Amino acid sequence: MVLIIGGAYQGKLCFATEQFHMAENDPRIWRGYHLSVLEQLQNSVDPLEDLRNQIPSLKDRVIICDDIFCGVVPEDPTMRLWRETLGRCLVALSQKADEVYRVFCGLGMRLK
Amino acid sequence: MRIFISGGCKNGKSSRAQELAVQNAGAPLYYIATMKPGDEEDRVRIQRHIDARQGLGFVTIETPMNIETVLTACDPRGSFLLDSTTALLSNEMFAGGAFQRDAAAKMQMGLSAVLRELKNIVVVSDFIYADALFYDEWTEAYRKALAGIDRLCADACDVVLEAVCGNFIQYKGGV
Repeated sequence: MVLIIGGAYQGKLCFATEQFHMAENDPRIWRGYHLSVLEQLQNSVDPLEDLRNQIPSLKDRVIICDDIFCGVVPEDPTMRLWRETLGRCLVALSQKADEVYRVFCGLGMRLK
Repeated sequence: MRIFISGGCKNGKSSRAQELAVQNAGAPLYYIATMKPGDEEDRVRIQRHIDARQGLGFVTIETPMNIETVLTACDPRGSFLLDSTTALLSNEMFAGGAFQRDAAAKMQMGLSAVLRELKNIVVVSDFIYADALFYDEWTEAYRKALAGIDRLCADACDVVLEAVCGNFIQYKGGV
């Protein structure tokens, strides 16, 4: 499993397709993991528990997620919960991932 | 050498950019000033930057818009410092108080020409892409456009640096 994080619009998907020779619509690419987590929270699903259950099936996946952690603590309680929960999910994902990359201005840096 | 520096605000990008422009090949030394002062706070900030450049020998070229005009206004053999694409895009995109939809494409074209013609340039941008907020349409359009310009610069430059508390992570090349 590969985890790719980075700020919004940094070229994460483009990096994934080039690095792993995949098409943009390859079903192994999970785009916008940060939005999946927000949706789960809005539907009262525990994203961390869901992730733990899903981990075994994520072996060949490339997970792409926005970094949403460098701003001021959000005023909105849902956004606050989102930020915290996504952070925990990413730490868990990162531990299980074979490779972790951060993309900055279109350039990838391997963190793991 | 073409060098691109980004990172969070107040992480030492401008100081390092100045040093690199001074060390870079080429003469004369040009400072491309991009900020249009809107209020007293801006004027104080601009004065602080002018004081910091004092004695370094920069020729200041006021270019708040139409970045490609530096190509005719300056000697292309010079060493250039462009600080910053953030201010340039903001001037282009919200010129006269109205949202300019084609600003990003126009600036990309101008900047591409600048990065093609000038061999010695340091470009500074700001990393504004990592917070847990949904912005209004215009702010989001601005972020997306600036990210596109950042990627264009990162692609065209020999060196790409991210500033972290006055330290620099090298994503590409070396200085």
